[in-house]
Amino acid sequence: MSIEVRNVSKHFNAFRALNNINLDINSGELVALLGPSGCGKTTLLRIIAGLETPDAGNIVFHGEDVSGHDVRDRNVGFVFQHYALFRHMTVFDNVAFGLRMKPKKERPSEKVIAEKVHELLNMVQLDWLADRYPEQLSGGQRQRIALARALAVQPKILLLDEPFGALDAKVRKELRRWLARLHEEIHLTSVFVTHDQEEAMEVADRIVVMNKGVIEQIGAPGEVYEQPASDFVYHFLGDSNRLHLGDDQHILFRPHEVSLSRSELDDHRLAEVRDIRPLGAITRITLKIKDQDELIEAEVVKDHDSLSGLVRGESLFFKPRPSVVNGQR
Amino acid sequence: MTSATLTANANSARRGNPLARRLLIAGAWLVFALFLLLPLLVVLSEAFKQGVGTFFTAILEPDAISALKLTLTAVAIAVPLNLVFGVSAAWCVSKYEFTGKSLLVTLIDLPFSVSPVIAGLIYVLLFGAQGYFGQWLSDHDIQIVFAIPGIVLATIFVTVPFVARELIPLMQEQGTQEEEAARLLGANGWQMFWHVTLPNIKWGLIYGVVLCTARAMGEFGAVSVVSGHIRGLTNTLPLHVEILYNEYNHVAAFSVASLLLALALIILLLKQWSEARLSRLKSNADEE
Amino acid sequence: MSRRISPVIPGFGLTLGYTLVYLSLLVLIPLGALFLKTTDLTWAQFIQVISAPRVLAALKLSFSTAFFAALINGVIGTLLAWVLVRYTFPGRKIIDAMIDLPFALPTAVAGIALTALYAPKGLIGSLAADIGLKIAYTPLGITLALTFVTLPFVVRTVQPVLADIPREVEEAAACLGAKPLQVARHVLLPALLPAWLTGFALAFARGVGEYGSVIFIAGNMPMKTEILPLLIMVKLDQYDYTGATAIGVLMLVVSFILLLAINLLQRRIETP
Repeated sequence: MSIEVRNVSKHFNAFRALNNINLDINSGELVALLGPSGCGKTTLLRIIAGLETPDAGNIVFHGEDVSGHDVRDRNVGFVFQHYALFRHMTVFDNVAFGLRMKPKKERPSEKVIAEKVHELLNMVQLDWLADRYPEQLSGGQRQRIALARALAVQPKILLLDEPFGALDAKVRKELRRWLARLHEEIHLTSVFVTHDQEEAMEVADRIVVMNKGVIEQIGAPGEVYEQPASDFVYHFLGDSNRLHLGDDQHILFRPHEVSLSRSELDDHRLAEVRDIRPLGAITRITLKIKDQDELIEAEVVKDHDSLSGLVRGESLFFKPRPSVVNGQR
Repeated sequence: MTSATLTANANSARRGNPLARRLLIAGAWLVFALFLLLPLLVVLSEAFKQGVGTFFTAILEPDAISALKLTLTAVAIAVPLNLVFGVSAAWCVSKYEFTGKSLLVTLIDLPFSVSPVIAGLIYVLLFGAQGYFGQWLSDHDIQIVFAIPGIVLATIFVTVPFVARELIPLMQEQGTQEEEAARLLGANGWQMFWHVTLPNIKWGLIYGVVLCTARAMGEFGAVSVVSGHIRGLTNTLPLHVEILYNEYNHVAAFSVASLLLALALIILLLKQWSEARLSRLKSNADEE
Repeated sequence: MSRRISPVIPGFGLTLGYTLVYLSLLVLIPLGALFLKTTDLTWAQFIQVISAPRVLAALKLSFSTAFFAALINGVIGTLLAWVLVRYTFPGRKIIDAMIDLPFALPTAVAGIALTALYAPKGLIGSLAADIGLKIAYTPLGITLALTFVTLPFVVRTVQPVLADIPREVEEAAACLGAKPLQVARHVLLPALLPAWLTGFALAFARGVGEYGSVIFIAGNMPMKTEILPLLIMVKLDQYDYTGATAIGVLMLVVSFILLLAINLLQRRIETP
């Protein structure tokens, strides 16, 4: 089911959370809303779900305007950042909740509910936890139960608010790969909110970069990375260096977009080595250029020619090789 | 606060100055023994001074029984009403933002800072023979003051805040996400409240009800003003204790008092139990 | 009007409406009647009622005994809270549970029990009499009864705050070279003071209005051991409704001013 967001604005008292947002999400797509905290991404997600009412604008699901629809009738699966599992219910009862709340004539029998719940718990590989309470689960397990609970009512759309935000680094990486695979299998139109650009790039089909209540750019991960529409997007999607060219001109480039040499080469600038950090496959070198306050960080493969015997305080020659060259930037 | 963290704190404190620690603990025991335990024992010893027989005569006397009945009636009306009020007040205060919210919370707490005697007085001013509605009430042959309705009203007044006060912080801490999740999963308002909110606030609710019951049962000043002290008719148990005491029938007074004391101890046990469940709930929420 | 009403959590109108109606009918309108009744008196008459020597004596007695009782609890209560939070010892749980006894015990029962103990013939009263100290039927007895009924307030407000102060904070202060008393003065006191003031204010407000536990031990001698709530009762028994109302309003207004002052003090402490 496709989602259209049309001219949506939202204020909280004096704070402008969303300003005239327009967004089309195709059926079956997995889209990330990416941005810093306070950019309005969670508000947008909650408006799509029907948890907040926009001040202006419409939400359209598959051609039908659902703006006036009650949250129950939108058929949306929602996974909260802190999961919002019902703490007094077992895992089984949590997942069964949506089915049990159906009106009498649509409600399946307890037997059918039990089958359905176990099927979902198997899908998230946690069937063995059915009788536990949420407080007895790890963060990653709660996350998957929350997902199973949301999927139990067979939603047409799945919305996830910072789905991996509360997990530790290792579990987060496992789960996001798992979510991407799950999406491959069930192909449900899904939108998730994140502030982690790596997460958005790894999981999403398309990324919506937001800042201060507006959309900065919409595009595939490669597109927003390689062809950022603004300085904000460029900075937000990865580490960046700024090299001043004089006359208020500067260029931006990423740490790996650099050529290093021990000897003087054409167009290369002289810099002093301030720090050398081996980070595994790559090594990061911090450089100081005369007359520029901002330090430059360069990342090269660990066996790069320029590194042999290099110590702090020595001089290096470097040249930015930005993939995007854009006059003012 | 869980007992686990309490103990952890307590253990780490063992390294403190041992003399000061011993003195303070001894002080706590002294306060407990002299101030809390001794009055308890005095009530019991005075009650059974003339043996078990006199004790039972005093508490089984018809006036005592009718006082007990009236006390239970007042509790049975005041507590459920304040329970519904408490849930309603806590709901609108904790689930929504609106102007004047902090004023509302202050007003809910107001009966706590009004003397019980004034609580009784205001109903006399409204419904007494010379009160604002006095003439109208006597024309229609309705008696509120110096009758059971007045006692119930005064009891309600002094116990209004108890349930709300327990629920407001608890519900504010729990937030609205579980309710939102329930609605997204298709629950209607009533299903959401019954299946999600109520189980979550259950222990806070019980705790508030226990405190409310204790106060409703033991209220003296407010009830004293509106009661009229008619033996066997408008006397609650605490008022009955006063009458017996003022008649120098000390053994009977202490016998009835020991009945109230037993109820108070039961309430303390219930309170302890619901509080323990509540703190377990809170510590689980903290871990999330 | 600033509002943040979730479209999915129903019941705002219903619960707010019910809360306001219930509160108005049972609390606000009746309290309004109190102030309405005082308009039966002219200002001069009002002043005459409340400046009667008997009223002023009761006013002084009620507020001073409530103040001292709250102060005593401020000390004992803080120490009790400290002991209960920081130490494990035999009987800790039972003491912790019994702290609430004064809330659970009907005040009349507390009143006759304390009187039986502290009256000149009582267990403690007779010991005190031997050294020439009279407790029951004096302001001292009233203070004692008020200390009993308001005991839980300071303990129960200070206890959770004390439990929330991580032990590390004190240890960090100690590592920085602070002596135990300096730690108490600069680390614990500022953290506890707002809660302590709340407990103190609650105990004080309750003490001023308390009736049941006091009238047995007070002796109720006009000008000497007659508290304000009792004076209201006396006026009511004489069918002097306006007199009772005037004293009631006086009590409410003075309590309100004092609580406001404590509240302001608290805010000043919390926002340095």
